[in-house]
Amino acid sequence: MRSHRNFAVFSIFFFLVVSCTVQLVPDYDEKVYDSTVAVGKQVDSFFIKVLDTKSDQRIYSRFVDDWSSIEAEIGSLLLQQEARSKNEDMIEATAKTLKMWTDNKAAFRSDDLFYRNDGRVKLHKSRFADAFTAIAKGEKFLQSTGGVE
Amino acid sequence: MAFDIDDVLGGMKDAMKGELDDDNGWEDIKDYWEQVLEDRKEALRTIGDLRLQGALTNDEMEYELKQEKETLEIQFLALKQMTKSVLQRMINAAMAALRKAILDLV
Repeated sequence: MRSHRNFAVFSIFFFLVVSCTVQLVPDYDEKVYDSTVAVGKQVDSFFIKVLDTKSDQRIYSRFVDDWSSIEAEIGSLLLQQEARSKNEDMIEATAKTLKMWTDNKAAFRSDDLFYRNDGRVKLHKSRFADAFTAIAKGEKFLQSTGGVE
Repeated sequence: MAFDIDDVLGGMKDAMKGELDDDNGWEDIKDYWEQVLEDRKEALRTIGDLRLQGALTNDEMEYELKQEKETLEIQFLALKQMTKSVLQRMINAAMAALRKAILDLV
């Protein structure tokens, strides 16, 4: 009787060890990486467009379509992140990036002088580049280190 | 064949140590960590300069500092994911060593 129980315990242990791999992060997803780079590029182009506009003409209404379009793109990236399991870090990072974007949009909408200064535009350009680089880097890293070889 | 737990644990430890090599991502994480510190230092310097030039009010500076905090958190989340990815490899390498030891036994 006891040997049967030992065999059962060993079998369960054997099954667990043979079949089990630990997953702490999602698998690499090239589409998510490409989307991240594409949205990052769109945001960068937006700030270049703002810098190319004379400072006294940088009013919210002039850029309203860009703000909304980019907000939708970051929202779409967030949906892609949320559809993956074990992805809580990049979901949070993307949600924070979206919140930064919508906070800036709201600030600009309520104050047309928000981007009057080139220094502030460059600061935001660089900050969003850092945010999208972080998300892209986190994704790319999964490609080189994920799984067991 | 006897199941020698010390041998198995030694094999698991060696497998994990193999994953600690620089080639397996730790060096990239360290480099990125240094880049993050440099990025944020530069941004804080810019905010300080803009305030001194009068381009930002105190309220605007507070707003920028809040966004800096958000950006740092985003970069930390990327570092967290990168670290977890390497840890995953280490744990799975140890599990693979254990699996091999058991398969050799049966």
